[in-house]
Amino acid sequence: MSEDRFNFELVTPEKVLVSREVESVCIPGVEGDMTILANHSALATAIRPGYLKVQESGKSETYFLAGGFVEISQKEVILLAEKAALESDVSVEIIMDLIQKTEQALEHASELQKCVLAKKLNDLKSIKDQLQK
Amino acid sequence: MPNLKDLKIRIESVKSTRKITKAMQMVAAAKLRKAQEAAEEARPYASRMTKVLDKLTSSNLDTTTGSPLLIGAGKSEKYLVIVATSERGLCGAFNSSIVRLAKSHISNLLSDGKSIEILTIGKKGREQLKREFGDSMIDHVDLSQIKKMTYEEASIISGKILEKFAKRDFDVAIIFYNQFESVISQVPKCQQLIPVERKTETDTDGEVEELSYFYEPDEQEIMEDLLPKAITAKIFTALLENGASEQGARMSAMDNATRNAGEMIDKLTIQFNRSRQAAITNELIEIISGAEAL
Repeated sequence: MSEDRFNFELVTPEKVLVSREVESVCIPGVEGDMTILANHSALATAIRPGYLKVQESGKSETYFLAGGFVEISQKEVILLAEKAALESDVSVEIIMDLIQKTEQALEHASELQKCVLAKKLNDLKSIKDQLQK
Repeated sequence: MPNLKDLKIRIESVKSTRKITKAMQMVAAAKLRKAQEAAEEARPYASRMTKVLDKLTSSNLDTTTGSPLLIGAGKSEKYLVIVATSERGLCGAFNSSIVRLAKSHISNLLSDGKSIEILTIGKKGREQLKREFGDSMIDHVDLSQIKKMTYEEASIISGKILEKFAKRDFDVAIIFYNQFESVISQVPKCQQLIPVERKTETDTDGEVEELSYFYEPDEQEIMEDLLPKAITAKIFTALLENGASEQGARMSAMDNATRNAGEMIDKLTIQFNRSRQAAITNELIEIISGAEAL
C-alpha cells in the first residue's frame, strides 16, 4: 500500500459496493462533512443522509447514502450504510419513499431517537429539494 | 395379485408424481442459486458490523451506563424466542429441525423457571409450535407476500422487537434459524439477539490495536444508533440464511423423492410385466389343454 492511499469499504446489507484503495473520501457526518485522507486518526461517527465522494487517482465517484455509520482506523475506513446507490441512480421517488418511511418511524420513536430521526428527515427533504431543481 | 388395469393406473400416477417432484427440484435449484447469492452478499455487512461493535465495546465503554441493548436489562427472567421457518412445506426436515431445537431450548428455559414468549416468522413454525406453546405465542410475521427478502423487511421485524424491548416485555431475545452450510447440510442455529453478544476480555488477546476512538456525536448516541442496526443486520442475515437453507433442503428432498419415484416405477413395471406374462401363460395352458381334450 502506498503512503497516501488507504483501504476503503462501502458495505450495505445487500452487498459490498466498494472495496479498494482510494486517495480520499468525503463523508457526510452528522456533525458536518469531512474529507478523510490516509493516516486519519481513529474516529467513529454516524452519517446523515447525503452524498459520499470517493477519490482515486484523478477519478471520483459519488454515492448517495441514506444514513449509516463509519469507522475510521489507522489501517482502513469501513462505511456501513443502510442504503447506498450511485448518484446517477438516485431519483426523487426513492427519496420520497425514504421520507415517508422516516415519518412513519418518527410517529412511534423514543425521545432520543426522535431527535435523530427529525434531523434525518430534514436532510432528506433538502436533498429532495435539490433534486427537484 | 392386482389386476393389470390397476397396475397400469398406479404406474401412471407415480409417473406424474415424479414429474411434479422433478419440476419442484428444478425450481428450487434455480431459487437456491439466487438465495445463496443474496445470503453471501449480506455476510460482509453483518461481519463488519460485528467487528465494529466489538471494537467499540471492548474499548472503554462504561458497563453501568451503556445502552440496555448492550448490557442487558439487568436480569434474565423473560425470554423472547424468535423462531424463523419457511412459509411452505415439502422441504424435508428443514422446518422440523428448527422447531425441534427451539422446543428443546424452550423446555430448558421453562424448567429453569424462566417465562417465555414466542414470535414466529413463517407459517410452518407457527403450526408446529401452536399445539404445545399456543398460549405463549405473542406475534407472527407473515412472509408469504414477500418475494425477495430485503433489509426493509428485516427492519420492520426488528422494529417490532425493539419496541417490545423498550416496554420491557422481555429481557433476553434469541432467534432460531437454519444456517446454510451447503446444499445437503443446513444446521439449525440459536443466536442471542438482545442483549447484543460481545467478545469477552479474554477473546481480544490477538488484537493488539487498542485505539481510543473519537466519537461524533458522543458514545451513547452512536451506540443508540448502531445497536438497533446491528440487531436488524443479524435478523436480516438469519432470514437470508434461512431462505437459502429452505431452497437447499427442498432441492435435496425433491431429488430424493424423484429418485424414489423412479425406483417405484421400476418395481411396478416389473410386477406389471410379470402379471401380464402370467396371464398369457395361463391362457396358453387353457388353449393347449382344451385342444388335447378333443
